[in-house]
Amino acid sequence: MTTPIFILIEAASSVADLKLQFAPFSSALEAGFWHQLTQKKLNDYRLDESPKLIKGYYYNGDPLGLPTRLTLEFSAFEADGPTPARCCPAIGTLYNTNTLDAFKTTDKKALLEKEAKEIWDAIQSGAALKDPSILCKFILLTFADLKKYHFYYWFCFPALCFPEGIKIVQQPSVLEQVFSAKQIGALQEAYDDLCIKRETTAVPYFLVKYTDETVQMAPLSDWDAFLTGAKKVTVGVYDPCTLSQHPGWPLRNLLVLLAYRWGSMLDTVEVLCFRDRTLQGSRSIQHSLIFQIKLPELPLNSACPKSVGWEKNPKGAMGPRMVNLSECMDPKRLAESSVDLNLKLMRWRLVPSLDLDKVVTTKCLLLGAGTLGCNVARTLMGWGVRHITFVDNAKISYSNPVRQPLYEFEDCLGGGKSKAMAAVDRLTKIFPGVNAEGYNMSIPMPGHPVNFSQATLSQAQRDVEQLEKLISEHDVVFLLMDTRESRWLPTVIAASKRKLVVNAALGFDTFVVMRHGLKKPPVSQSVCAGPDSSPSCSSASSSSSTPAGSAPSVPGSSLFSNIPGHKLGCYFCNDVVAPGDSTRDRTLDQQCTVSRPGLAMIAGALAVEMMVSILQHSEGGYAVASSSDDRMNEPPTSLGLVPHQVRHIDSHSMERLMFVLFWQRYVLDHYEREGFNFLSKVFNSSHSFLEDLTGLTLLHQETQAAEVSFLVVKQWTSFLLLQGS
Amino acid sequence: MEPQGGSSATLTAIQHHGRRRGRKCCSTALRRSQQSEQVSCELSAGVFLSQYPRILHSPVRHKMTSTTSHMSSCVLDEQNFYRCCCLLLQQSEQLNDGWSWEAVQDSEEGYLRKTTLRSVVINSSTVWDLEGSSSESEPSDQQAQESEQSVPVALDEPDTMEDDTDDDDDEDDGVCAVSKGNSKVLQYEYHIMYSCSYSTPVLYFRASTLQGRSLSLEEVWSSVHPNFRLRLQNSPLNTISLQEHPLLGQPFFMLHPCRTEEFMRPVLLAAQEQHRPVNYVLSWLSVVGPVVGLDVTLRYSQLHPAASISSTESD
Repeated sequence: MTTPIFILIEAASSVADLKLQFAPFSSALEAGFWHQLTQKKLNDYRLDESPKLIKGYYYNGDPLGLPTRLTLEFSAFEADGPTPARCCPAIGTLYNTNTLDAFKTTDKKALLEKEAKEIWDAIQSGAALKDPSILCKFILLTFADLKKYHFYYWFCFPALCFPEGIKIVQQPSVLEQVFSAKQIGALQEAYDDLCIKRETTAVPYFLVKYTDETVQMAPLSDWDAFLTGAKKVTVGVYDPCTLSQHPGWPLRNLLVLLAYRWGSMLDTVEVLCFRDRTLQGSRSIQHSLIFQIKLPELPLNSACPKSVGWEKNPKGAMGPRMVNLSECMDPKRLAESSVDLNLKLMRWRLVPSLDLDKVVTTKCLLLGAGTLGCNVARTLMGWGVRHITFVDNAKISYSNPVRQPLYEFEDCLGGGKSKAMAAVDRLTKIFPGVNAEGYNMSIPMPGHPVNFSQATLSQAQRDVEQLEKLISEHDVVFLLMDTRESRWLPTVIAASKRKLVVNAALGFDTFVVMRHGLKKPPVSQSVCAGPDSSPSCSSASSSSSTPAGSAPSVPGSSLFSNIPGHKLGCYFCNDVVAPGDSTRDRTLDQQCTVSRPGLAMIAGALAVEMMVSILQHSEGGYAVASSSDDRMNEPPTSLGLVPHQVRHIDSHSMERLMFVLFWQRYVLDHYEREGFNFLSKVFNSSHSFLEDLTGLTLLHQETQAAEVSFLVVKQWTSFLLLQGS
Repeated sequence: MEPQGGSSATLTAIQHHGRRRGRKCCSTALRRSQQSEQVSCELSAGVFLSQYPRILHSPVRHKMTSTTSHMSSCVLDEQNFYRCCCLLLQQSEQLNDGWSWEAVQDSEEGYLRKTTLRSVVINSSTVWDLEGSSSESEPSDQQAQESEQSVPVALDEPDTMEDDTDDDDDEDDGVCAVSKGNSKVLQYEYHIMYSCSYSTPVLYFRASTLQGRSLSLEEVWSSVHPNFRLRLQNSPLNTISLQEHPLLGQPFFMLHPCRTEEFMRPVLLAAQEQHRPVNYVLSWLSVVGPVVGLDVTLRYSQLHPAASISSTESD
């Protein structure tokens, strides 16, 4: 919905030709005004609803086409503060209500009448002659909803009305048609002199006397002295309107003043609507207007005339306005837009084709909220990712906070908070715009039996179901646990659900960050019966031939180039040992993740950067794995290469390994057919069940035939680090 | 015409302020906001501007007393920043260009401020129709070419609340008839402040509707001239970020000063070679202003600096 401003219809003047009509003020509020009102309300006014003096101003130098405005800026609350140069001040009364109801039920008519009465009194007493700015007052009724940053407001520019309206004797003329160039020059000079005399830069109302040669001016209060013997009276008004047929609002009450004080003596009055603009450094006043006005009669000692003045809303109806400033005032919204803006800077010069929306809208599931989880979450936040879910069953212990940047010492007290929950709290503190959730739950693992009792079994079943649900609800699954075998179940489920998996694992001075191969979507569920129908897996015999359905291989290129994403392996594909209980028969240092403290940050950051690179690839998780040869070619994404994995083998070198393997075929097939029954067999049995199932036992003998591919590409990591951050 | 009795007093105050502050190093607020940036220590280049040592009182203007060969860096120290501001204010006053000095209450600090209005056409490609002050000379062929890229401004104000309590009493026949136009007026606010970290001026700005709602950067973009939009996005001059105004604490956009010295150096060096006085702030503004819709009229360059002196002194 758009809410256009009002534009006066010039054509209307020909119909109502001899009636004087005024261009109403449009209220104009600067952003700073609302900030200041908020401050005042919070620190000063609080519950005080009493009327407050405020100040606005209007300007007679606008270029054609701008609406006649009354502007309030942040300085509006200093009623005796300075007015911008060459602008006329207007004093207003602020009624700031405490509730929306009070705002709605305020008697607007009474407010207007009260203000009109004051103007009328000032006219009668002569106070308006001494200080004519009384003629140009306003009312501002507001309600500030500082919870939502919604501001309701309604302006009123009180004007006294003649019962019969005002007649003009002839169509208005432009000053340059009436005045000679010399007179115009003299007029400008006289006005400037008057300003200097009054020690101001703008005079709202003044008297004019002119001959062919000279122009004189005087303040309104000098009426009698200045105009003695004058045949014709010319009154000047500082006119903020830019229309060629109409005067602005400030003339309206002046005419009432003139009619009241001198109406009996004057039949017509000449009004100079003084407009004074400077464009490109050249000043001009010749577009000012001259009206010949027949002053209507005002019965002496009459009661206060009828008054009007409440501003129409943008729809053109009598009603208040509302402006929603949550985007520029709510600190949470500000944080959001700053974060987004910062990211967008990347697109300006460095990566113009970066698709940030793809990154920001990605829903990430973090399995593990320890050293890796914390670092991955922080890097995701850096990328503006909003949807982050943690799964962890551990509590925060005293050793954690120094390595796990989402936790603090306090979190360890009293047995420690749940990691998943504490991580969510901290993320929300860091950035309230995040949509974070935590699940304090265990992930069933191969070799960790769940069949002690019916209760443990059904708990495991619920955990599996919960995990399946979580994985389907997210786009990317991060495997960030501290054991190998805990990665197994999510690997299987995510592969089955065709979710992108990014896996990070740490050794003491080694780590691996990899994306799992993303199986192609099932062609058709019903046909997918036999083991060979799974389209994603290459069998031992087919993997050595050209992958069918993917990009044709370049003759002479290495076997390992152009391996499409759906043929890449996963964490377990690379292993010749099936996952089992790795914590059994281990010493403490073997059970815990003992690693160089910096590695988690590097690996966590790389895992996220890898995800972002994959998302930027037109084929996403199906992207061909970049190899060392590709470093010379056009990079596949705006962020560069999309390798299969990054490995840090020792403290010196960064290497990337790529395996193509096929255990998934067997495992997935069983999982998809048998579900939890199959899983519980895996959880409860020893190593050999999985090893036998996946043919690893056989593989040990057939390594060469199995076409285990091995490739080392150096320095992707350093490349990424240089380019990405 | 110099009608303002108070104007020269204000200028003098700023100048004193500058001198005082120059000794005291820099404003804490600015320092706070840019703490992490490296501070350039080579302030000696302020001598560029030393031909304006006493703007208001010294009639000696064109003697390049202290342009030196030691100049190693084209930076602006704070004292000279205030001098430049004084001169700019004076000239702005002559040209009625609308710059004013805003002192912050209970503080020694302040900034140059200017507001402009611009009307934009909603849901139409010709966003640039009526500009506040200075785009009337826009060639029309440019307009055609721009129109493809320009994004319509989405300036939906939230729904207005209908008021049920007030019955309209009789229609006011003293108001001229109005129709809903399809144009919208935007208010632009520009602030110039000094950055101690970069030893350069910094331009802050924001745009708002007449209701006082600040626009997002996208909305600002869509109302900025497409040529400038492109130029800004590819420009080495600057990047825009959302920052809290160091003195007001309200969100503003800021043209980051990190490249300022880079593009000011050639300007200053050329001027130095030709023994031409340069107002750093004005030259800088004429480069960075237009990219965010703030035009600096050429008339500034046509003003004889001496003219400003005499006219001020004549008061």
